Amino acid sequence: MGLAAAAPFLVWRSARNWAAVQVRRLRNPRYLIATAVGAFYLWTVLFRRLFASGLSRPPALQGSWLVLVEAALIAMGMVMVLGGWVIPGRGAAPRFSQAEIHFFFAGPCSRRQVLHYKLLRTVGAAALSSAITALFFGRSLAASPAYLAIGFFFGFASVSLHLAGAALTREALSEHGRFGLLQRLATAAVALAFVGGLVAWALSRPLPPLPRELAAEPWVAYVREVLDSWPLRILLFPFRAPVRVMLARSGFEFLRALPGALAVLAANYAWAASSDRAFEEASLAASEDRARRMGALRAGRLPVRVSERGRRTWPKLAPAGRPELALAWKVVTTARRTANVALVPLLLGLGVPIAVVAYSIVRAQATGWGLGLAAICAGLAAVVAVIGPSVLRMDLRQDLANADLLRALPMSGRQIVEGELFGAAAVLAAAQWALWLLALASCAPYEVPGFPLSARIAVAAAAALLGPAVSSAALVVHNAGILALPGWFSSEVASTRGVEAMGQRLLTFAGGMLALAFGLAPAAAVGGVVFVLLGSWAGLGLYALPPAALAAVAVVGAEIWAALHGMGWLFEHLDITE
Amino acid sequence: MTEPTLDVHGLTKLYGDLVAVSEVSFSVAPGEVVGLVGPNGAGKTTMLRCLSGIIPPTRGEIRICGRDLRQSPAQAKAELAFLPDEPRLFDYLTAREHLNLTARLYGVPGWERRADALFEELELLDKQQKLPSELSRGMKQKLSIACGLLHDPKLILLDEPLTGLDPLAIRKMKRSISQRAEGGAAVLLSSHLLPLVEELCHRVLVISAGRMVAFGTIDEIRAQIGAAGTLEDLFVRITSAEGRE
Repeated sequence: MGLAAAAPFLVWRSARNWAAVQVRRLRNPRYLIATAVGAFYLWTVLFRRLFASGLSRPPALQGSWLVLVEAALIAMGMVMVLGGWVIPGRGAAPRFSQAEIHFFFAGPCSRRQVLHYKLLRTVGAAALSSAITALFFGRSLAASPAYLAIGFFFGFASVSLHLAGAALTREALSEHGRFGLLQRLATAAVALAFVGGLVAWALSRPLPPLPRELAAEPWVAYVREVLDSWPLRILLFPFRAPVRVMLARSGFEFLRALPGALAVLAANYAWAASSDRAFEEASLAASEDRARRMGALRAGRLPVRVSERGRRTWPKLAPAGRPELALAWKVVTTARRTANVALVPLLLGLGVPIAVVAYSIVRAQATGWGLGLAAICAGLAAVVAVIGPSVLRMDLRQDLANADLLRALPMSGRQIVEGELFGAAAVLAAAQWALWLLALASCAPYEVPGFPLSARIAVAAAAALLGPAVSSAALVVHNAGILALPGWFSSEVASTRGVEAMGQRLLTFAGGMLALAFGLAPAAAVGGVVFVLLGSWAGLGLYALPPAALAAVAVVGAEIWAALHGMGWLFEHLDITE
Repeated sequence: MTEPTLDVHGLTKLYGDLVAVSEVSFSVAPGEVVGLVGPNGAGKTTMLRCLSGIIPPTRGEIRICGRDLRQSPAQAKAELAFLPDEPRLFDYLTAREHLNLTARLYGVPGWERRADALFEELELLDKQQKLPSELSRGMKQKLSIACGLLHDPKLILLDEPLTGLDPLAIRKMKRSISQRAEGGAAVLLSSHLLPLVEELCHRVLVISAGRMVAFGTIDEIRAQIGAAGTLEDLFVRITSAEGRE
């Protein structure tokens, strides 16, 4: 009786049924093809390397590099642990599914039993993550994939348990009303002071002198000496113990490192499990939040909380007029309310590296913050044009779950498709135009040899024409895909995991790119011909870019116009039960 | 005097400065069906979550079959079943495995016979090997009910139990609640369906803004507020008065 008897049953039967469902799905050709593609991809990037033999097998890290990897892994562990203490949030609370909460919290289980269950599952998840990580890095990082996997297991599990303990302690301290915030800040301050004090103490001890040469060897020796110096050797032990297991070079080293890693793991488990604090509320809130987010993702929506300011109605929708504009208005309003969530990772993840490259190219010729800002804006505009349509899924990809409602509207299929696409295309175009205007304004006061302001305006005008055309064409491809093959392009596929989902995403991505390239090829050819004619033969140079872009946009526009006809027909004939 | 199955004293739940439930005290005797009613946001679900041990109360005492929920949570919760409005099931356990899991959790001897009876009663016999994703909303709700009733609980906490059920299933569910009460189970039923509460419940507990504003039989509540009418009339009158205050 109790959780101890029920938990193994739950884990085993769930795993068995999950596997059975995956196998059963292979009867569907779509899943079979997707699984084959996903498996082929995994084989080529992962398993082939693992089973490769002889010279093709990358050598394990040796000597000096090993010290640097050890230092990096220790630093990574420290950052994760410190982050768990300093950055407050529900995310770190023990996470339970809604079913676990219902069956276990309301069931005949003590709080301690439930906590042990969750901690053991955390350890199990760490074992799985370790195995996957070892598959990726097993051959290149360590002497043995097994050592690496076991070391990663100790590392992942210790950090996860430590973070769970930190979350429980934080919850315990913050459960009393308005004093919670102060207590939370006080906890963070105490944790920081403790760690800072240790670091200060460590730094106050005489450290080995910094090497004067720039060669790798002296620096590697310096890092090794610092890691082995007193008292860092003791302070870093909890982080270093699992790393030593990972990077053991022989069976003897592995066995020698094992007790330390085990002790760290056991200490973290005991600490997390000893917490008798109320974690139920935080877990319940986290579970409900997760359910809300998953529900939103499955419905194709971004799981966002809209601020009071974001709820203001802007732009206003006129009470009468073309109905497709009402749909476009809905898309624009959605984009405005979700932009903070969707754009930040997009811009930071992809825009910044591109902008840095663009900035360094500009900087090679001239200096000035305005030019740097212009380069950043240009880079971001390019990202919005190319990646924007994939990331901002606020068109039919979001609304297909409501296809029955859309079909009941007094509009033709083409009108609905136009409304959905126009809104998304307008948002992406507006973002690009704003960025190009900012780029021009910020670089206008500067003289750039060989690139006068008028030429910059010509380039920006061409880009401001071409960018929205490319993003609109990409939107058409994505939306045509979901209308033609809804099962392949649905939001559910985008949010699920597994070999077959990976295969589907690979296929849809490749198919989309191919269709886009095919669709843009005529426009590129026409634009290229116009540019050569006007730029070289008529001697307009860069000033031929806007008319060339205009010609290309005309071709893309004609293609989109034709595609919208077909998409309208597809929407009207869509099997909404699929 | 018979010991109440559920005995609540001064139940209070705070979320920071927000008072979700405030100083609620009441009891439910064996065989008694008590209705829990209140407007949206009154604190009904929070109260049921506290009573079922899902979240700890800030203050107050909850005793289930004489056992303190805070001191002996596992023993106290072994006597209760909480049936939420939304069925919460494990994605990859079949219907029968859900009952198997419940049997292991509660230690139900001869669970298979009881499971067969429940599957038959709830018309789930042909759905035993289905996963939740293969069941309709109503079927999932029935499965959740079956899980709750498998261990023959002495206290049944129901949060909008009829959501998603078809008329036939609603009739069966009502009969099932009455039968279990006649068999000695105490039932606390939260619902916005006031005719259902009036039909099934011996006493009614009305809460508004987390406070208990009326408790007793419908006649007693009529006498308390000095008004006649159905439970719906009384509810509107009580909660409107509360709102004005």
